[in-house]
This record gives sequence, C-alpha cells and structure tokens, in this order.
Amino acid sequence: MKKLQLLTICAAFALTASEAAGGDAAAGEARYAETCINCHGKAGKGMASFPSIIGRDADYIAGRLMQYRAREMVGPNSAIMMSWAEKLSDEEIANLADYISTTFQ
Amino acid sequence: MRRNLTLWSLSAIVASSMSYTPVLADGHASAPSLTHATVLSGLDSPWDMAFLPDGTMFFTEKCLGLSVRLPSGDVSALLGMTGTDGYPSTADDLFCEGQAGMQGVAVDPDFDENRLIYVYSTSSKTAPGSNRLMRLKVSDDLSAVSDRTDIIEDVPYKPEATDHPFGGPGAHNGGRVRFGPDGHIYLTTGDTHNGEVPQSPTLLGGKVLRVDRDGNAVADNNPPEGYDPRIFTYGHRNVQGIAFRPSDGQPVVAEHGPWHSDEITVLVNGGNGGWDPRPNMAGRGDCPVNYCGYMPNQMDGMDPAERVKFMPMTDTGTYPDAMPPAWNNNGLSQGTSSAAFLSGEQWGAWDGRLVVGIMGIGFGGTPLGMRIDVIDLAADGMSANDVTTMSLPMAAGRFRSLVQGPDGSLYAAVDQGEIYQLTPN
Repeated sequence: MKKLQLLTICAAFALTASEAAGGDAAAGEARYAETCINCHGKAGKGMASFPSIIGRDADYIAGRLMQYRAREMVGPNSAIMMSWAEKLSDEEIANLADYISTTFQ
Repeated sequence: MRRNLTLWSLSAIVASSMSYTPVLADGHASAPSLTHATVLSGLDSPWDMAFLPDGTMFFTEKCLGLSVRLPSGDVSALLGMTGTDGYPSTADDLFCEGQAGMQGVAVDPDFDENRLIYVYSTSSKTAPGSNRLMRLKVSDDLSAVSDRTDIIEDVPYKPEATDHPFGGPGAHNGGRVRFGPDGHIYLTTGDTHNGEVPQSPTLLGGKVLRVDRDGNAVADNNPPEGYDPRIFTYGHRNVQGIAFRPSDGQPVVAEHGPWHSDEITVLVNGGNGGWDPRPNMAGRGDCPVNYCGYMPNQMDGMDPAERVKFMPMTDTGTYPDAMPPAWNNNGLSQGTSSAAFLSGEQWGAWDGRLVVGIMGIGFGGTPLGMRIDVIDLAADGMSANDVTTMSLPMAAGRFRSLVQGPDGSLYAAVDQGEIYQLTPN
C-alpha cells in the first residue's frame, strides 16, 4: 500500500513538472478568479488563515494542487483545498501554476 | 514577521476615493437602495471596528494590531503586535497564528469620561497561550493607548495542530466583544477544537461571557451551579457575531457551523447552545483527537442533512432545553461571522432587522455564499420571518465584521482588506 502511495506521489510530481511548463497564464488567471481569489486574494497574499502564495514557483503550486487532488493531507487547510482541487483538470492545474508563479512575485 | 507600517498606511488611507453606485438592494419593493464608499483598503485581515459618536473608528487587523481612523480620514496606529513596526507602542506578547490574533474591539459607553476601549487578542503571556480581553486607555489626542489591563486572561487558545479540518494552531477563538444595552461587556469565545471545552463549567471557550468593566462576573448571570460566574451562555462552537435587538435589548449571536448549520440564536441567560463535540456522546464513538466536530466524515463532502444527524449543532436530544436557533442558514455552513442590527428610519423596511456577514467557504459542494443577509427575526426569537440577501453595490467579500456607524450607515470589513460604508438612500 505504501509503495502504491509513493508511486502516486511520484507520478503526480512527474506530471506536475511537465504540465506546469506548458501552462496558459491567461486561462489560469480566469480559473484563479473563479476558484482561488476568495481565499488567497487578488494579489496572492492570502487572508485570515489562508496562506500567501507569493513567490511560489510553478512546480510548487502544481505539486501542491496535485497532492490535494490526490487527497493527501498537506497542512491544516487540506480539507478545503481537496474540495477545490478535485474540480481541477491537469490542464487547469498547469494554467494556475503558470499564472500564480508568474504574477505573484 | 516584520511589517512596514509606513507603506501600509499609504495604501490604507483612501478615504477620499469614494465611489457611489446606487442599486436596488433586493427584489423586495420595500428594500432600500444602497450606495457604497470604500473607507479603507489595503488592510491586513481587518477583524473588527468600533466607533465614537463623531465617526472616529477604531479597527483591528488580525496580525498587526489596533489603529484608529479619524473623521478627517487620517489613520493613526495605536498598539502593535509582536513583530510589527510603526506603532507608537507594541505589546510583544500579542501574536497571531491561524485564526487567532487580534480580534474584537469595543468602545466604552462612557468613553467621553473614561477614554476606555476593550480589545480581544491572543497572547503568549501564559503558556501555552491564551485569549485575553484587554482594557486600554486612549490618549486625548487619539494618538496612543496606555494603562493596559487584562480583564479576562483565561480564554483557551489552541496551541498545536490536530487532525481536523482547519486543524492548525489557533482555531476557534470566537472573538467579538460588545457592550450590551445593559452596560455590560459581552465576549464571544470558541471551542478551540477541544471536545471538552463547550460544555465545561470552568473552561471559558465555547461561551458567551458577560462581565463588568473590570472583568468581574455580572451579578445576575445565571449559569448552572458550579459554572464560572462569568458565563452568560455555554455550549457554543465558535461565536463570531453578537448584536442586541434595538426594540428590547435581546442579545442574538451568529455562529459558525461544522460543515452544516450556521446558526442565529437568541440567547437566554444561563442557556446552553447545545454544542457538545465530545466522543462517546449521543451515540457517537471515538473521534480524531477526541473532537467529533466535523464527523462522521470530516475530510469529505456529504449531505449536510446527514451530518446533522450525527453531530448536531444544537443537540436537543441530549439537551432538551438547549436554545434553539432562529435560523440555521438552511442547514449549510458558509462562514457566518458577524451580526448587527440596522436601526433608524433611513433603513426603511429594514429598520430593526438583523444583518449577518457570511464569509464563504465552499466545502464539499456547498455554495461559497459570500454575502450579507438581512433577517427579520420573529418577535419571540424562535424563527425568522424573512431572510433576504442584500444586493451589494460593490463586490462581495469575506464579511468578517458588520457595525452600524454613528452616521446610520452600515460598515463592513472584509478579510480581503477593505472596510466599506453602505448607506441607504
């Protein structure tokens, strides 16, 4: 079982790197406005108990979203992030990663 | 965390950049139309506001501290938290973590004579941290605070992460502080993700406390025998809204629900809110870290109507005399935070109605729901005659605080960093 989980994680990160490289920032911006902006804010600085995502690179963003979509626990807001990430396709994750990493410096 | 207040101040003071866009407030013909102005922007998670009669507005930011906006529009920093710059004084024991930090603020009704305000914040003065209600004296020129006295020192704080949604340190502190028309201070608290806290006779989380200006229990508080005499009501989850009905002074609270059932509840002195997330209660077995608050399925979406059967927000089965909610957000949990009553003829048909700020969560298929609802409570407080969603003249936000100002307008703070003024026409 643990081997399967490791394989899943590795596959997720492998997908992350390739997908994030080819993201569409404009599409990511639209998805961000629809899905992420209410908690992470228009500048990505976060609010309340939702963290800043400023300065995160594309691989980090894509990797985290893949982890949440795979229902991995990553920090205290995992439940809410899983709920949002499960709606995202590989392409949308790549787009978001591209938009966030290039916009919130 | 070092913050540069100078930059913050420059971006925050936008009092003159006001936009007025009248819109019909809702589909009811009798609803007032509203305009809005952005009073402040660029704030860092503003949490609460309190006004003087001339429009002076004290406000808190969760991780920065206390400031004041003068009627001229100028902003003065007053009391910073640990790691902040640019405040005339800093209290290094005040810190933020997760949901915890500097939260509610209230002005003494006798401010003209005593210059006192009250601020609720998380503190490291006592291990492992606590939430405290501080009394502060404001200088005559509104440029500084002094004479800090912690009149309540022992509201629990959650020091460590647990295996729960939003399970980081600092969860569920409540946080609103208001003077009632009886002249006493009401402080709302939260359960800190601890199953024992809400029904505990001695732990002050999951309660509404009622004290005097020195933090002493009000003599006619009526909790059960053996309970801390400062307790006005108990058995709550995380109360972030309290307001007093203008017609009769009745206290009403707004409370976050556990993946279901945000609640608006009319309080009864000594009453039990009916929240009891202990394991091995009401037919439940063991739960993660002895807290059943998000069970039976804490990490996944499921029908809220099924959740409530397992872990009710108001457990009238176990506590038949529990205070029933007047409204439960149609069984949904969407982050119901603040509450205020609208008062004055300028509000037309809404004069006397309760407004509730809903921040939006969007978990497990529940609609996000960022909005302000206008609620016509039944006279007996047992139900709502009508609930109307306010049509906003600006974009919705995470409505953390609602306060009616001395000018009769409604002021709304959103986590995004703005404080808006909503004015009926």
